[in-house]
Amino acid sequence: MDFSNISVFRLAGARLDYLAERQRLIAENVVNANTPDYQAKDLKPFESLMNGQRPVTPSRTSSMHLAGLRPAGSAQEARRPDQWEVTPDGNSVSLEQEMNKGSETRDAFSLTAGVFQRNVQMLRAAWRVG
Amino acid sequence: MITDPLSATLRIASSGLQAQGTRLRVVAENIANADSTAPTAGGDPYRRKTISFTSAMDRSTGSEIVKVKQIGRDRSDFQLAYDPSHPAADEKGYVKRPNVQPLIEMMDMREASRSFEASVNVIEQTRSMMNRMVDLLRS
Repeated sequence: MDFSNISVFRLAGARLDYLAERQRLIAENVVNANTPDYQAKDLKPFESLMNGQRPVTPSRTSSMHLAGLRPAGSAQEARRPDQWEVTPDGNSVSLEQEMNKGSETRDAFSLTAGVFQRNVQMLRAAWRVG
Repeated sequence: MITDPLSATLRIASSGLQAQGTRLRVVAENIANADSTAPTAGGDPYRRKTISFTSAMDRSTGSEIVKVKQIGRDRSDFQLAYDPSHPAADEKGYVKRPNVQPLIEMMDMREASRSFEASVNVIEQTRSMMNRMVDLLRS
């Protein structure tokens, strides 16, 4: 039985992937908070990724082509994320904002993992009855 | 090759810790040498060190980490102080003082420790996310 065919699992899995990827970008922003001319990065909102817009990915038509680092169809980065401030050296990372985003991401991750867990418990209950 | 974003996050955040740690070391060197005059009469005293960062692509994770670009020297002028009895005084009796400003070093130190704490915070958040994933196995 493939759990990814059950839509709750698929949705929760996609959400967890998205949040982990977002946390990675937050870490990149935080460590580059003192790098001159660094532009902060963020992902597009999860809703817009779910609304059917599939990212365009190059297809490998020859075994000589290099595979990309990111798995195909991974979350897209927003072109110009909202930033709170830009310092005179051209750095657009605000540590306060990144901390805020980080705790948001962690809470959402915990919530999504909870949904996943509940769904497993529901399946288990069904097996026990059956 | 790390493709798991959460493990990559830990790797990125530790590069931030390392960079800010180096920056704190440079600040400490500057403060420690704030009174280091020249060993010879009329010579140049300690010149303040500067540090700059750059973002670099980390091949093992495919992410942008931070690296120390270079540790340079502050080219600003030295202050002259009149002290004829000083061993480093020139023939007119002036001593060149290091171009270290304690106030600037303090600011630099505060900023470095703030950025350091932010990276630690990211590590803590990421670890709690990883633990949440491990908890899924337990239920």
